[in-house]
Amino acid sequence: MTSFHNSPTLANQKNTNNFPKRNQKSPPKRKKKKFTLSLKIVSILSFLSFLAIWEIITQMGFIPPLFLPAPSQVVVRGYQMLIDGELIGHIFSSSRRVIVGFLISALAAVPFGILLGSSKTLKAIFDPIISIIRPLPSMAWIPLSLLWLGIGEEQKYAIVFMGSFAPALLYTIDATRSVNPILIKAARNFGASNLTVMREVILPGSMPSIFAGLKVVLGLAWTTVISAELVAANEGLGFLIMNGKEYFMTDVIILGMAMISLTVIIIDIVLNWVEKKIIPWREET
Amino acid sequence: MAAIIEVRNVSKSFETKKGEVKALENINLTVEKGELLCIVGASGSGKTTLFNLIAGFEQPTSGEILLNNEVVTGIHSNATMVFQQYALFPWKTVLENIEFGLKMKKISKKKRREIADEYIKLVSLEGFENSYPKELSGGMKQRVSIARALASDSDILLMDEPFGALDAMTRQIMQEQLVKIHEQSKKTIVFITHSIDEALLLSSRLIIFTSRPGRVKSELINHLPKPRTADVQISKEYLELKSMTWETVQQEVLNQIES
Ligand SMILES: Nc1ncnc2c1ncn2[C@@H]1O[C@H](COP(=O)(O)OP(=O)(O)OP(=O)(O)O)[C@@H](O)[C@H]1O
Ligand SMILES: [Mg+2]
Repeated sequence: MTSFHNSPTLANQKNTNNFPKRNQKSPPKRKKKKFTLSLKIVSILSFLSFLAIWEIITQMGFIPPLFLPAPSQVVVRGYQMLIDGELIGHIFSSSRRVIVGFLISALAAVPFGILLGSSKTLKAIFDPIISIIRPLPSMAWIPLSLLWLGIGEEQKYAIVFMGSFAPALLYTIDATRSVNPILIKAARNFGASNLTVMREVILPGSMPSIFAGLKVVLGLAWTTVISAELVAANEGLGFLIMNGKEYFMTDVIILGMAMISLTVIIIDIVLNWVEKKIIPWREET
Repeated sequence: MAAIIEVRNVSKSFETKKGEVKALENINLTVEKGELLCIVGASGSGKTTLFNLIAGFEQPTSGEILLNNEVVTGIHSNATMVFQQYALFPWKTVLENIEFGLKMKKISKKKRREIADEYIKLVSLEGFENSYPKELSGGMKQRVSIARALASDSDILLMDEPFGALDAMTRQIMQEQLVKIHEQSKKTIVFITHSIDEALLLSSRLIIFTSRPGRVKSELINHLPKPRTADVQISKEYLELKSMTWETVQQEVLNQIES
């Protein structure tokens, strides 16, 4: 084999190169930033006027507070419950259920999914079970889980697990299979073994889709936990809403709904941040 | 000289929804060790397909391909491909991409880095070592993919339109670099291009494919004197070769459009 790695002449040739240097930063970007900023202001204003209209309509007495309380009433209720610690307790217990159930299912589904995604035989073995479980809405598991596990925390974790496992598995299988085949060829062309292809290409290559899938699954986990709490629980945001209904405290219902929405939004922001940190190379699509 | 790649009676068809597509028909081709062979042919004439067969990504429908007198039966690492679509690993930086082939050869980190730096300089990407492919222009990506292939230092290079995305100036510099590398390293290079000028500038031999299904339409030994400077490119000999090649290619491109 002839090697020219050690030939000094190559390195010296760069002096003759006259590549046009490219500028990385272009001015139009700043303009775009300004534009998106003003769009954000529009969104905030629209949200505030929505609240204002709601407030005015309810304050003027067109709608009875039992039917729909004013936003200010919800805020006052929220403040009270925040002070006495009740609200945080509900948020915390729902979040804990979601996170524990979701993490267990992700920890099981992702490795299993990568395995199924890269082996046609394994996929064939598990296909029947998966295709039976897949169409089941997670709520369908509630009666059985209550019967098996009662109304305690285990049942909540189990129901979130059941609701998240199948979708997480399917997203992972898809992600593993959608790794651009030309990249696998390129790696093999440089002499990568099957194991190396797995480590160097399939694992990193499927990360963005796995992550995107898990974000959807986390949303599903929230749906599941709230439904489970609506049916049987003595704490959590789902319980809070249901309890509000029992005592005709509409402001508590609205507060609970707003808290679910807020928690999910915050988790989403955190996840997007984490995604940028662990997948900095992600290509916009 | 010894034959390093032998393509024997190779045909390749693909089953598609619309029926069978014949990409290559009865190709016979011998590449000598140390040659710089250019392949010219209309779009869709099966050039990439031939490379895929040589690299072992796919198997011929009939016929066989030998590399160093051994039949290719699957993917191997004896011929490094420069992919038409670059095929850079998006999760690796420029440096890590270029180091990939060396990493596969279990070369030490330090040595890898040294070699990669050399090739970063060669393709003038200093300052982009830690950029991800998404941060590069098409031409820059193409240069990374060339550097990655060159760095791995295999005896055979299969270059699929490697300079297609480069601007005229960069392209000329890269062509000169490639000629130098070829002369110094005695590598065997098979080079696909759409540009007749590029083929005449680089090649020691030139092959023209027919339009689909691809067959070897004609072959031409390129005796033009080296180095092929601007003077050579306006010589009578060059212009004759060029018009001859152009006529052949033109016919095939027209066939392609009519079909
Ligand atoms: N995997 C495949 N499945 C079906 N058809 C294919 C496949 N690969 C190539 N073909 C067909 O084979 C023919 C030759 O394709 P190929 O990519 O080899 O052309 P090419 O000469 O490299 O063209 P270009 O210059 O545009 O890159 C085309 O008609 C293409 O549609
Ligand atoms: Mg091609």
